[in-house]
Amino acid sequence: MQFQLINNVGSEKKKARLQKELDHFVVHLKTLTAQSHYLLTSLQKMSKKKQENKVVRKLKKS
Amino acid sequence: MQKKFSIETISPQLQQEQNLKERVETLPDIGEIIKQGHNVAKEASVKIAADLEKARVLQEQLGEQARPLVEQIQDLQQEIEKEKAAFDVRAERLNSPYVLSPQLAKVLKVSRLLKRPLLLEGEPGTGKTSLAYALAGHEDLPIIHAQCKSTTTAQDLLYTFDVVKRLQDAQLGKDVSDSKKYVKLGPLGKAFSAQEQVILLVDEIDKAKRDFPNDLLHELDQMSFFITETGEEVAAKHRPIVIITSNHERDLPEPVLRRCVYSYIEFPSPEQMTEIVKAHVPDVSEKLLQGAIRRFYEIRQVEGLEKKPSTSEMLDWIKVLKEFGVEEIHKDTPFPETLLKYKEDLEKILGAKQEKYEELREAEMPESVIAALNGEKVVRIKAKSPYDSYEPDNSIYTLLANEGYEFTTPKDYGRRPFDIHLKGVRRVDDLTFALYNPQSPQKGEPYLYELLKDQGLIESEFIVTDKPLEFAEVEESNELYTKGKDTQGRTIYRTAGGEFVFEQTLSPKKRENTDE
Repeated sequence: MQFQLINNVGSEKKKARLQKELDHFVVHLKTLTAQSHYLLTSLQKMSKKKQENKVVRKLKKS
Repeated sequence: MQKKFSIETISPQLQQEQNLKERVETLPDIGEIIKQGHNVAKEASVKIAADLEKARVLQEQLGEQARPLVEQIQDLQQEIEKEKAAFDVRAERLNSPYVLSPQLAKVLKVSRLLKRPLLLEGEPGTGKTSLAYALAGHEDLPIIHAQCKSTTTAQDLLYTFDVVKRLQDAQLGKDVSDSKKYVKLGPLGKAFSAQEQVILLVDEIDKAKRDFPNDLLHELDQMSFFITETGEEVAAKHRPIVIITSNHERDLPEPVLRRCVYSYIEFPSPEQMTEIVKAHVPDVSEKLLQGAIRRFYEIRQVEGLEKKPSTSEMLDWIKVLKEFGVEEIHKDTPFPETLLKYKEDLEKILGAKQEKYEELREAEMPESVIAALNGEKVVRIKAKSPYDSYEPDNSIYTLLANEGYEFTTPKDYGRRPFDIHLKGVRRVDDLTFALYNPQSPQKGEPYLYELLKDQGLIESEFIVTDKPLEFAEVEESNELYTKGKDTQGRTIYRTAGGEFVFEQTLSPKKRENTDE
């Protein structure tokens, strides 16, 4: 019986596919990092706003 | 004459589009790809961890209001780990070679020509999922893997609408008028909206609910679906190559079968398995490969196994055998835990072996020969004199004492024989020891063997071979074994299974001259 070996060691297309998988993975991780950074920035904005409100309230009282 | 399956006959355009020859020399191999992936994942994880630390400090000031955002950052950190593991699995799968049988090559070609999903059935481990990945590597196509579970619905494969996030955003005062940003496409949605042709693998469809395959019929026929929440249509830009796998846990509905090209993958024959192993472990020795294949199919034929070992277990087994320097397999099953996954199966396979040894003991086969048949490293150590088979050479005492091994001398306790007190080392006869099992050296003492051998203190070793030895004289013969002498006068044993055991004398080692 004649078997056919596909996707064998050294296959050029396989190497190219693996490289693309890596590229895709890197992009995905960058997206996750960017999301995390965005969430942190949102928190910082919220904190800043809270501080400002505090100052405004103090000023109003005085 | 029938043409061999080749991509050139199916998608000539695709091949023309790719001009990889220039790039390929600079492309890294699998090891480097995984390493690079891990490095990037580590960097991302460190960055998110730093964000999380800062976020927790802010949470102390902001209180409950900050909790959802902090939790989202935490989720992102966990996602990195999951994605890293998934990346490893995908890369390994894409890297795996595949031995395609002529029948399978034919159905693959038919399904591509008819542009119909290919439905692959077969017992676990026959290479259904691997085929999809190998094809992706072979043709450099992206693969989208939809793993079915008992809870998977057809909707999950199309898209999900994140109502919770939308509500959360609304509570935070964000603009929620654009519904599109809350739509997350599922595997089928991604496959349809991809900018190039992809392979869509719907894996283990029989694990999903009964209605699941029927619910996808329309979408797979039309290659499009609507997102109700946005009114948008997702239509396939490039028709995906759909591969559906099933372990045949349940029959699939007839309308599904009608729309697919069906193939049942038989468990590989020994001939095909040999090719598969060679493709995955190219440097395996022919001797080990043939012995392991024979033993593997013997185990598969044992009746009543909870789980028969499959191809993936065979590949793992060969890798482990090679790694631990096992050179050949006879009737034994080293590292059985690699092949068998149930306690009952292990007991069944190993128990059968122990029963066989018990029978040999009852037939008065020497324990040293039985130990050798069991795959242990059995040696006879040098005696004090050719006429004394109880007391070892004096230098053995010195060597053992210097190395810190505990032992008993025959003089210590009167009639008690010389023995070495060491876990994994067992005395099988006068001056004869099973030092370790080469297949699981951690249970014995390979170091002691090397030491004794190096000092020329091993008189002989017990060798097991399936190469026939000629009897010059038969001393004893029964149903289980034959004992006799060969032409050189050595005692040899032949078991009913066709294995021969003999004692090979080691040539005396020249001692280094320490005076120089």
